Amino acid sequence: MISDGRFIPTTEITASAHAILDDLDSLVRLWLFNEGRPTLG
Amino acid sequence: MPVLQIIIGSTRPVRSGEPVAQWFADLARADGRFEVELVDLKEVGLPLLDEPTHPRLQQYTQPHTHRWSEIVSRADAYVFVHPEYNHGYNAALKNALDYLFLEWQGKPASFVSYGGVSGGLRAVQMLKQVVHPWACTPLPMPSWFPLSAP
Repeated sequence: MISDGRFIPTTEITASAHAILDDLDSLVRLWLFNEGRPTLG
Repeated sequence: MPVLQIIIGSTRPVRSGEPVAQWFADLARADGRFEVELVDLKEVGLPLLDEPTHPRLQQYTQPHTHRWSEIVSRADAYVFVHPEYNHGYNAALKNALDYLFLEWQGKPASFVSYGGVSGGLRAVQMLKQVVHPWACTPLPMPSWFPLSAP
């Protein structure tokens, strides 16, 4: 819901947002590796 | 640090996308794994696609296309925050996507959708097909939620 111009997420929504960041982190490493810019970790 | 762009897909004067994108940007910054940029299509202000050649050729003739290309090229990954209009994605976002080709190519992308009972999920399913020609890598699970506002 949105209150006073701010989005207030549920616990489930916050969890899915963290899952997106986890997946992006994995895939972006692959992308950077393919681009010749590998990252550590 | 990889650059993650969070792109606000709605350009309506009153939109839920702005606070939702701001929330996601704050979350991503706190996470610390990305350099986060918030990109607002309303501010980018693209007209309907007006380039004469296929974007794959990158023979851009318009200053707004050059600016948009520079913005998108900076990123290593994208999260599109967008509504669902009439069971599909909104026109402003599709227009912005269609302006470019190579700039998106191969980079991971995900979607945060909102709207109505479906939470924008039908728009996400369509957008996954849209990004496929770039071999852009859409994540399997988007984040979506019902909101009654635009």
